[in-house]
Amino acid sequence: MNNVKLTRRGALLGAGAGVLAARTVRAAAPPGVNIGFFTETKPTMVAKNLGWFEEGAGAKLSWTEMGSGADINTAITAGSCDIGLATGSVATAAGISQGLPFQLVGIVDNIGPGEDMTVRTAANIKSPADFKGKKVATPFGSTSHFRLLGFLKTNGLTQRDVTVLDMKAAAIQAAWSRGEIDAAYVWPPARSKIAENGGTPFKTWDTLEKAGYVIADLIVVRTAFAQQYPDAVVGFLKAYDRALAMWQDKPEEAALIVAKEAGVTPAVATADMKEYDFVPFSQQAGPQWLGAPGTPGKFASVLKNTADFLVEQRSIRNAPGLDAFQKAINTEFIRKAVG
Amino acid sequence: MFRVRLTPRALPSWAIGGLSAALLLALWIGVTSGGLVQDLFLPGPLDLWDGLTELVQEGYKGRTILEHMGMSLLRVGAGFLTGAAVGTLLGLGMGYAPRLDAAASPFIEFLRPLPQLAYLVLLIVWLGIGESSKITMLFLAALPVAAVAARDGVRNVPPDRLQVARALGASDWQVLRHVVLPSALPEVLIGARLAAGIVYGTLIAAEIIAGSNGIGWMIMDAGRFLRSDYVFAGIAMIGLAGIAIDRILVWVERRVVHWAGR
Amino acid sequence: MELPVREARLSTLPWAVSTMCRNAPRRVWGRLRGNSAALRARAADAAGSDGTGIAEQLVMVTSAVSRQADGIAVAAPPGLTPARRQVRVPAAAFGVASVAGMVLAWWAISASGAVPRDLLPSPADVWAAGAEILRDGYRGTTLWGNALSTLGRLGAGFGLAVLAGVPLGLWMGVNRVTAAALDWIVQFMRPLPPLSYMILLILWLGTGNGSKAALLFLTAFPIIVAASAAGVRGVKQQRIQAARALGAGPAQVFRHVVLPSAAPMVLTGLQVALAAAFSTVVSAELLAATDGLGWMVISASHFLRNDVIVLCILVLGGLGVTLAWLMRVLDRRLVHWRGRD
Repeated sequence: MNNVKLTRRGALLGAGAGVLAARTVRAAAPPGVNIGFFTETKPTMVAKNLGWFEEGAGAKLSWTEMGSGADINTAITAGSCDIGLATGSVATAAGISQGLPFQLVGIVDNIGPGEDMTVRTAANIKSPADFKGKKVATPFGSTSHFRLLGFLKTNGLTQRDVTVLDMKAAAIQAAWSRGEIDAAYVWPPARSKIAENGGTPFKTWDTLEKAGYVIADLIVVRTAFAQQYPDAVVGFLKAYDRALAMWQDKPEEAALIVAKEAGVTPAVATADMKEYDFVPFSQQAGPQWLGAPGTPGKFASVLKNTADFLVEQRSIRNAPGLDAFQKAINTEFIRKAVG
Repeated sequence: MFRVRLTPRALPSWAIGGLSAALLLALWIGVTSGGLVQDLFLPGPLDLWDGLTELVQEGYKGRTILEHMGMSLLRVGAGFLTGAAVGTLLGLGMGYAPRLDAAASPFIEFLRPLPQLAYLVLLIVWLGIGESSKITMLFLAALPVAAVAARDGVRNVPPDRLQVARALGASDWQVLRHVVLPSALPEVLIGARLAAGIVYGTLIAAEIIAGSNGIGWMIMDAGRFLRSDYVFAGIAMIGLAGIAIDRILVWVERRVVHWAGR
Repeated sequence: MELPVREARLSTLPWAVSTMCRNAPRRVWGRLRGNSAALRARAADAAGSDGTGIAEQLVMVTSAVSRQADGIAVAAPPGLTPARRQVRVPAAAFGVASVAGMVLAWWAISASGAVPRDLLPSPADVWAAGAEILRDGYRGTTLWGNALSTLGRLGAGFGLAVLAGVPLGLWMGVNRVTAAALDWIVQFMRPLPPLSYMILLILWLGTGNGSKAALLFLTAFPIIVAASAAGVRGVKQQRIQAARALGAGPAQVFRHVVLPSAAPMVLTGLQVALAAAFSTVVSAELLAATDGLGWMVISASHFLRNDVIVLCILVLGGLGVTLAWLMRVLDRRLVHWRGRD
């Protein structure tokens, strides 16, 4: 509790990072780590279930399930969350633009085809123009919402042509089974459930990705925490790397654990995980992704584009220059984790 | 303690209120402009003003601020009127007929403190994501409050009034119309005001259901991106509208039950 | 019956009513109903047929009734039909019957298959969910643990609101300057939906118990302050003046006159505030919670576990009813003089 207070005051002073770095001594193991996470079908759940994260961080972890990446931003700002696991790139871009006290330390997955449009088969939607007058649901503020808005924009549709509804994944499933929405842009398992229930996939991700609407799930760490306990962060990342290796080497075994954590069948877990592109840490320090000191990767500009779009949507007030995003990316930890 | 009231201070009440508001404003400016607090945590008055004018001029996510406010007030109005009407009728019946009271009380008492968010998903599953589920949630918030007030209103009718009316040969209907209703009306209206407050407080929960309009949704959506200026502007608007609604109900109360308290 | 009706009108009315009540016990009134036509005729006769007001009639009726009631007390005069005997069924039976009927209807609807199970879980489903959660817990938490943490937050938030709100409200009631300075803030806070400032509380206080208790505090606080202030303002001035005339000092007036007179209103405010705070517990646990009944029902909502949702609703409703009942008991204990002003 004291710890939280201290760091929050740091944030309040607006110079949290500098002040704390000067004041705090690097310590090997934190007394406890607050993790914000989502229950989902990803290898992260393997490391959670088997206690690898705990082992890697060398501390007791307290897991708080969050409703959205925005919740993780809020919790980090308030000092109640140290590591945000698999938070969306949209929330992260917004947070960096607002100068929230966190660093982007790694990528869990490039969402790619993982989140995409599902249309009601009976609604007879074959082309983007068919969306006119239809109701499309998505959780606002999410990566899916960002993609959906990108889809509308690239196809010359406005929110006057298409009714875009803000709904949580569970509400989407409920409304879908009542036949009230014609399409939904959402992630698994809601996505697979509505697809089974009279839905047809409507592929948008490939063209959108080419148009710059790249979305990813990221690991963010509260700046003060990263400076105080770098070893814990490296250990945490190592644990995820180990889980990812397990998913690649022994997919059945990994899927079994993930299924147990997420409350789905192993078959569903496997199918879901195959949709995501889990980028290994060894590649992330390359120019394609996060880059290295001196050679910034492409991902900073993905975040910058995302932030610009959010400004256009008037979700955030303004977006800083590219360098702010490059500065918010810290690859020191993944390099140590793989090296 | 009473000396203060007996020797009225030089200042009228509105001036004292204004002074305290000015003091708060000065504190607010001092805290925000001094860089003591990031505007993420607490936007300064100027940021708030900018946010407010921006919202008024450009609207929020495809709708003008008046549309958002209007949608919310329509929902509140519909939920309140239906809930208060049904609740009052039920409550009058409960006050009048002890058996109906016994039969309906368990449900009313159960519903009254029940957090509305608890049954949000059930409402979606049963009634969908349209206006009906939102209005039903507000209806369910208003109903028990209005019912309890009306029941107590009837129960608190002085028994001698009833007896005199009956002795005068008034029929049950006449007793209800000329004695029970006028005597219970002050409490019924107080209940209606309470119900309006509860409905208003439930507005955001209702607008979480689905959609992309309404002032409550706007506050939640702006909160997602920590747009504190919009959140504060929304709170200011929702608070002022709430006061306005309350004032209107007080006015109605005064007009209708000028005998209240006698 | 030659009373000077018009003069008697206002001055005798209170006397008439009190005489009436003293002289005619309830059951007598019932008996008299059958005879009311005659009474009315008499009253009208006495008051004149030119439509004089009810007050005059009341006086007439009162005296007539009083005399009749006296007569009845000795021996029921002929012509008065005794009230029809009713079979007394205790009111509680209707309550039990209606609840039982509801459960039966629920069971019948779900058993008949008229409503799909994913729309309405059957009582058996909810029972099974309850048994499972009691045995294995829900996602690593127990039902009791969740109920306790929710009640703990409620207790902290509501308790602080009482400790701060009642004194402040009383002060605002006796002190015009305080009232004028703070009333607009309370008036502004009162109608605000708690969810509107939830995100700010999390930013300021973090995701822990602090922000959750603060939300419940802010829900209850303005209600308690407003009710306490109104309670003091509603104290009859004559009482204060009478006490002062008898030589009571300000502290004595406050202790022996203001406080007892305001107490019923304060207690009513506490009951309303507790209900409001209770109905906010799920909102408090909507964002970034790790336990509590609100967290449980929201988590079940994410997975569309309708059986768990209904179970949580039943538990929450039961807790709410219990708390409201406890408040009523407290009310009766603390202000046993309520309604006897």
